Formats: sequence, structure tokens, C-alpha cells
Amino acid sequence: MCHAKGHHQGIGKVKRSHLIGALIGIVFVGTIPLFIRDEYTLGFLVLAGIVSLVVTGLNMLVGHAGQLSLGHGGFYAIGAYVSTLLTIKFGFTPLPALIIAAIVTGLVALVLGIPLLKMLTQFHLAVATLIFVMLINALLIVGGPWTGGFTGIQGQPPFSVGPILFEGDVANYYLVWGVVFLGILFAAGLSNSQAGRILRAIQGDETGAQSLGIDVAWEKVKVFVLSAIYASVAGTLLAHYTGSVTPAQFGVGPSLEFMVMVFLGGKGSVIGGVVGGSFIKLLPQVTEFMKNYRLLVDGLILTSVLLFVPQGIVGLFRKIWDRRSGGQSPAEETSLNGDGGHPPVASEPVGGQP
Amino acid sequence: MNQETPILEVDRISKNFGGLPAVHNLSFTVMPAQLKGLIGPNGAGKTTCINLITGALSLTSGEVRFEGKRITGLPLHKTARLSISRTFQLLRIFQEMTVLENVMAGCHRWANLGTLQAAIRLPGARAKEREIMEVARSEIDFIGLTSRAHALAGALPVGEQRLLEIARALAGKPRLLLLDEPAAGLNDAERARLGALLRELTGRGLSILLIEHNMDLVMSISDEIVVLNYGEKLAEGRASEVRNLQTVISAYLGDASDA
Repeated sequence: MCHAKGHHQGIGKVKRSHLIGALIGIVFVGTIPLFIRDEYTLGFLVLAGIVSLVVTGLNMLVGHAGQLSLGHGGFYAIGAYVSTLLTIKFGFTPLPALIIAAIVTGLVALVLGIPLLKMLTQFHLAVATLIFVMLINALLIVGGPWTGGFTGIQGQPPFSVGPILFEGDVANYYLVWGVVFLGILFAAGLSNSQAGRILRAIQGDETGAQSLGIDVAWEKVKVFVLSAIYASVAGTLLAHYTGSVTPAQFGVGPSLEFMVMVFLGGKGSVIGGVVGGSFIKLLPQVTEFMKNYRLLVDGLILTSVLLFVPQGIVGLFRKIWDRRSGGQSPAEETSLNGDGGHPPVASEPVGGQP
Repeated sequence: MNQETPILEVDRISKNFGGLPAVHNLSFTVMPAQLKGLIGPNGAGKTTCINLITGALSLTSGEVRFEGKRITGLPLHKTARLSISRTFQLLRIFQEMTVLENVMAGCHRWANLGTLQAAIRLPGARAKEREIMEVARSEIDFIGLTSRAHALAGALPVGEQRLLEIARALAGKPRLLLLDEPAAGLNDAERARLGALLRELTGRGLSILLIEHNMDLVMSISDEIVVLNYGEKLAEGRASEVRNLQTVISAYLGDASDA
């Protein structure tokens, strides 16, 4: 009997606590501009949203398929520069520019991903993607009038959809966080479906996954392309929000930082990208004095997270929540509906591979 | 399927590792709904043989045919797609997924659910997910892990992990199942139950190739047995025939006591 009950709670239905959590999150994020009026702070929240979008996409690759990319700054750059060129030099409006940039980025990721993901282990992939972002950065610097060199390109029009113009911080805040919401929705759908299960199977054991008929290399390529498209859309939004792009925004540093954000927020958690992205983006605003030590702080945070909270901030909170609510039942309910690949089981050490 | 056509034909296959033959000129067949045992001392080439059939390893020479079609050279995921399922001697379960999720992943072969279709719940995806869930549930019930469905796979004892791997392989609805020492780590009662389950599967028409060290199990449930030694076929026949062959006794059965 109780077995059958568990069955019906299974697929497609979202656990109530997750729904409540999502509603609180939406109301919280949605009402912030009503309370925070100063543009400086709001501007950082827009940037936090843009970065969160990149990290949410990257987390599908890292957290589900178990592949490391240190080069997502490259895809972020393609999204920003392609839409910049299309709008400034070719007279496109921002929405088609965003779509074309996303397609271009997807194709680049496909061409890059097919050889890399078929041949390389995750660590070699990390190095190869690092080289990719360095290459993109070098191209941006030597690109002459096309990329504007070190100083980049300025004067992108604000984002618009038909007659609706997203000008200023409040409008961009809602635009960016609306897109982040869609990004999370897609990632959650992926995570809770057979597609997510296949990716986690690949992370679990590649040969085991192959024995089930899973084309491991191709599945990795697909999620690599998807995560690149997230970065591209974020790059486009950035360009049209700030009205300025420079190579330094898309180099090795930001790429590494995205990875830090994935682990900090919670590898494999659907909201981990937002938590990690927002945390690192907003931390320096809280502790202004640390600005010059940004890399040092990031390094310290990442090291501490890996050592003490391998499941990231989301994982930490989930663990605390499970302790409080006690018992085994959460594991039973969240196994299919949980927003991550790691259903909490109180007796199981997190992140431990026996 | 014609009863006369073998589902699996292993035709003079050989595999060398750095010049050393691991499998040499080996031929045998598995008939539809047949349970064929593959036995031999440690290092006889049994696991290599399964790896060669499924494409986890490439052949040095010879040919493998499945349902009459040549499958030599196909990689592991493609042989799986043809409905050949397998388990592994060194377990390859997904430790951080639950038992149910492991078995649901096993449904991939027939589910054919595209990434986007699954993620944004396009029409048909929901029904397909429900079907995956039902098949996974019934295989978990069949193998006897119902009470463990929501446990993390990595937290199970080894015996149950072996059963899980079998359930996961069955979820793909295979026509040929290759089992690599499925009873290792099982106690006597569990082993007897596994034997009965395997016979039930062949009764439903599934063909099974079984590598097993436990002689009681393999002798009692196999329709026929192939004995390997040093990568070559030493004998083939019914359990009663194979058991009494002097060559087999001297090569292998002397070691059976420690199996």
C-alpha cells in the first residue's frame, strides 16, 4: 500500500515544500526593486542575475554530466560580441540578435564539443576549455574594428522585445531575473526527467551507462551545447544592459569564477547556480575592502567549500533541513522530485564515494 | 523467431592482449530462450568473452552475430541498443542515484526520450516517464528490492547491488542477457532465488549467457555449459555431460571447492 502511494507521488508532481520554496523565492526576487531604490545596488543585482544564468547552465554540465569546463567565459563572450555586432553594425534589434548569437554559440560549442567530449576525460576537458577561452580572448583583443581591441565596443542599444524597451536598472532587473527563472525552470525539468537521469548515470559510471544503450559522448555534447547557450544568452543580456563590452569581462578569470560559483552554490542543484552566482557577485559589495583580494577570497571560499561543504550552500541547507525534520521520509519523497541529483539520506556522508 | 536460428553466434573469436591470447579461436552459440553457462578457472577468458560480444573490447579476429546479423566492431552502447543487456563482474551501478533511478535509467534503450522533449515535457513525455516508472517498479519487484527502491544504490550491500544491476539490465527489455558472476556476494538463499528467477526469465523467452563461479548454481540451472581454459573451449554440453569429462575435472573442477 505505502509502496503504491510513493509511486503516485512520483513523476510530474512537485513536492509541496519545493513549490512553497519556489513561491517564496519568486516573491522575494520579484519585490526587491520595491525596497531597494538605489541604482548602484540594483545594478549589482542585475549583474548577479546575469552571472547566475551562466552558472545555472554550467551546473547542468558539471553537476549532472560530471564534466568540467573552465571556458564558459568564451561562450559568454560570443553571446555578447555577436549580438553587439548584429545590433550596432548590422542594424538588428536585440531579440533576433540574442537568438542568432545563441545559435552561433551553440554551433561553436557543438564543433568544439564533439572532438573534445568524445576523446577527453573531464580533466583534459577542463584544460582544453581553458585554452578555448584564452583563444577567444586573444581574438577579441586582436579583432581590430570588429571587436574594438582592448577597449571593446560601446553603445549597444537597450534590450527590447517589440515595442517593450528594457531601459534602466528596474526594467533590466525584471528582464534578467525573468530569464533566470526560465533557465531554472528548464534546468529543473531536465533534472527531474529521464534526460537528467541519463546525465547522472554518465557521471556515476560511463561504462555502466553505455551498457544501457546510452551514447555517452553524444549526451555530453548535448548538455555542453545547452550550457553554452545559457552563457551566450547571459552575454547578450550583459552587453545590452551595460551598453559596453570589453575582453577583460570574458577572460580566464570570470571563467574560473563561474566554476567556483557552481561548487559554492551546490553542484547538481538546480538553484545552486543562482545561490553561488549571487553570493560571489554580491559578497564584495558587502565587504568592500576585499575587492583587491578578489582571487584570494575566491580561492579561500572554494577551498573551504570543497573541504567542509562539498555539496555547496544548497546542500548544506538541505542537510540542516533534513536533520530538523528528521527521519527517513525526505529521502523517499525527494528522490524523484528533488531539484538535484543527490537525494538526501541522513545516514549517507555527502559527496563520499566508497 | 525461428527456433533453429541461434540468437547469438560466437564464431572463432580471438583476442590478444600484447601478444598474449586471452581468448583463442572460440566458437559457441546461444539459442533463443536458452540459458548457457560459461565456466572456467580464473583467467580463462570468460569476462573477456562478454566484453568482446558486447563491444566493450574489440576483437583481434573472428565474428559475433546477433539474431543472424554481424555485430563485430559495434561499441558497447550500440550492442546495448540492439537489445543485448549485460551486468559487470566489477559492479558498475550509479552509486549516488537511488535504486529506482538506477533502474529507470536502464529503460533508456526503448524509451527514446529526447533531451528537450523530456526537459520541457513535450507531449508524450509524461506518458513515457510514467511507463518508465512502471517498468522500473516491476523489475525492482521482480528482483526483490521493493523495500530498497528509494535507498541510494551505493548504500546497499554488495549482494543487493548485484541484484540491482540485473534489474537495471532487465529494464532495457533485452532479448539477450549476459551475466558476469551475478551470484558473487549472495548468500545461499539469495543464490537459490536468483537461480529460480533466471529460469523464470528463460521461461518467458529471454536468452541468457551466464558466467558463474558457483558450480552448484551453474550446473543446476544451465541448459548447456561451455567450459573455457586458457582462452580456448575445453568442452561444451549438458551439465551432466560436462561434469564427468576428465579434461574438465583436471582443468577446473579441482578448483571448484574454493569457488
